[in-house]
Amino acid sequence: MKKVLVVSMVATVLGTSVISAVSAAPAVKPAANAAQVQNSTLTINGNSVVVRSIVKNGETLVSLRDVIKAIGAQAEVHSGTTVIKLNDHSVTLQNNSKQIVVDDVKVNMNQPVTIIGGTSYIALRPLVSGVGGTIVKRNGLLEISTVSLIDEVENPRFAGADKLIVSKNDNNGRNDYLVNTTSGKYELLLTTDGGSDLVISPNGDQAAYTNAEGAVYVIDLKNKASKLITSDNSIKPELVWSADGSAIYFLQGDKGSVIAKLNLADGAITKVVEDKVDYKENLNVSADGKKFIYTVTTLGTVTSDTTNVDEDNVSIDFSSNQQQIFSYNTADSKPEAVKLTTSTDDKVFVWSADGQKAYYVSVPSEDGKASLLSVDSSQKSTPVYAEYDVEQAILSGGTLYVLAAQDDSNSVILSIDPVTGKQTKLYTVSSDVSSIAVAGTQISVVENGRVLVQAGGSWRAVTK
Amino acid sequence: MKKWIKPFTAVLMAVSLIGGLGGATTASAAKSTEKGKIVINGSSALLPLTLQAASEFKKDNPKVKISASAAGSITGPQSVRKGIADIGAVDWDASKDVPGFKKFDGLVANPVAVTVFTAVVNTNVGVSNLTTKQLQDIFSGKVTNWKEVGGSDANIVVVNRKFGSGTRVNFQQKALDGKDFMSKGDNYKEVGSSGDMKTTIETTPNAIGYIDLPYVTSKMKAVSINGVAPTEKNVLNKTYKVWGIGYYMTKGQPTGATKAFIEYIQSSKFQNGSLKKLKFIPLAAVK
Repeated sequence: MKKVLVVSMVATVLGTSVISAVSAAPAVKPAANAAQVQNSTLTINGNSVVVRSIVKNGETLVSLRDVIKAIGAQAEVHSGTTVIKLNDHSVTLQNNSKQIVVDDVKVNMNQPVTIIGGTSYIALRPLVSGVGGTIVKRNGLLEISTVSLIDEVENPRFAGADKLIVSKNDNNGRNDYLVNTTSGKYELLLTTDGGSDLVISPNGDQAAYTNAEGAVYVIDLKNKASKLITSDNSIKPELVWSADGSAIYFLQGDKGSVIAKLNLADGAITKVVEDKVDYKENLNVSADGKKFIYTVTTLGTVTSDTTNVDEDNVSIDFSSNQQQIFSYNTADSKPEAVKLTTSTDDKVFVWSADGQKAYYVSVPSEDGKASLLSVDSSQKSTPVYAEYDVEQAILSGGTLYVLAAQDDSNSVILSIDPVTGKQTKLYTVSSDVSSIAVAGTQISVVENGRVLVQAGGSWRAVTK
Repeated sequence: MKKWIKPFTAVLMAVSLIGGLGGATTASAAKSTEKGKIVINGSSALLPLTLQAASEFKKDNPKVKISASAAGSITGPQSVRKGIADIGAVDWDASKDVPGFKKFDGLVANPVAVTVFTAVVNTNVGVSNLTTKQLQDIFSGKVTNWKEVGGSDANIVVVNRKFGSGTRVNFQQKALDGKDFMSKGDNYKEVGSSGDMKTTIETTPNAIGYIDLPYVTSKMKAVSINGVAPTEKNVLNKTYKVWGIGYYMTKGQPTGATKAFIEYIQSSKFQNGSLKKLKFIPLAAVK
């Protein structure tokens, strides 16, 4: 037996030019001429769209043709029956009928499909829901999305205005996509097998990556063309853009021992730091390209005697197993690595804008609360934020952003001015938020695998 | 039930119902709550892989502390059996007997990568290909001068790994067909790690040794064996035989943070990303 869904009564507030959000509130008194066609503004898939509308028995109905055109659906009309198809859904309706069929399921509406001046009008919500779309109210306007969002992605980062890059991995490699943060539309940007993550340039126009052999490419994020910069096949664990976008600094070698610079104009590689210190990570470069901040991990010391394997004569001394932050100034008369930290905590999310002062999240022990600290050549680590357990920190555009767990249910996102120390709580979010990304005024979160972007005071899902 | 994102909770709930947004489906979708300490010891060949994976894993799991060290494959399962390490990185399946080493009972072998091994020479050596017989004769001390194998008139310096090395086990089995190494001589050296092998070959004229691909640099030369170059392509087309699977040995099935870390290394994201960039081959490629 076919299922029948009843769409609940939706009340309308009739505005002169706006069709506002419908809710469970009682219906308002209808205007004097309920069949008068008006123009209403909706946001459909990120675009501002004017649609014709009427009010019938207190409910706003919209022009079927105007909405179909705006959402890019297919429509076929046969003998008074209209079939609309979008996103593998179909909606079948007939003029003057209160019932539509959505994917073989009958749905009852409060008002019939009504013809005024040769144009069919229908309630918005059942039509949009029927093609798999969503409606939310944002800043007083209805925002409709019928875009099929991309799913199962990770590692979102902003690439210019209104765009995120997200990635999908499978056994064949990785696909990177550009996602429009207003509409949710996405397009394939790059497919790689064994390639590194894309590292976005400071101006957001390009991204750098290595292939499995170590060759460095730069991809134009507008025309999606990749350009080979160097076929040098040394292992490059980290890539960092120069502030002016003319070069890429990278750690070189399987142990990341060398800091090298790749000039984009001619592909020339120069070794900037070659001090034979292994296991460098978290490379940060100053704007002038002369100063560096990075971490160095020293390993545990193993003593063993394999003369008699069965005796397990092996011991490990982990007192030497540490991760410390170093700075290096190539402009010094005798450049050398300067150790900034001496503590035994884990140091993650290490950032520096000037190559002299570093910000990092200190994780003292498995049960300790993580905090955000700063350190410089004084070797004194100064607390920057310690109120809640810090889960992530970002330095973007000269401002620090922190994601911290307030309690079991909620986390907070706040900004910190590194100069004044002023903290501003930006958002309270679910504790299911696992990471944030920031670029200028844009901010996104990942919550249970979905990417949401901040839009006018609320969060808009751009992936599912 | 945990609360949804604030503000505008009601609107988002409506969105989730309409859009049919269900639970996340990516492997890493849920926020990590892993805690603990993982101690890893063993193979120096696998060390770059371990450290890179640890660096990535900690970004999503900041409350997991990972301590790594390396002193040769055999010390990996030894450390686990002794209870001083959670993971023993080893270049062979230590739950089975291999020539020279008995199996470690009770330890579980978790495969993590395919490692390619290659004979390497100092850049001054004018030989770029050796047969199996030539390799056997060089590493046994039977052939002592490069001119005997097509090179210049110079004594060969043989650099070997110490007993207990997984790289040594694999090279002996697969490049030398099980033939014995020499163990002493004026032109014979032993080193304790892949890093030491790299440094010695780079700085010792007329030297020959063997190493895994991630450690090969421009300051040494990888040698073809029987006319076949040591490349991923030749491993996959089965013409190059000197490779092995690297394992993380654990005491019983891994649990908690250790299990999560091993699963991360085995994930397609890591296997097809950083693992390949480090010159290892994904496990799935040779299955």
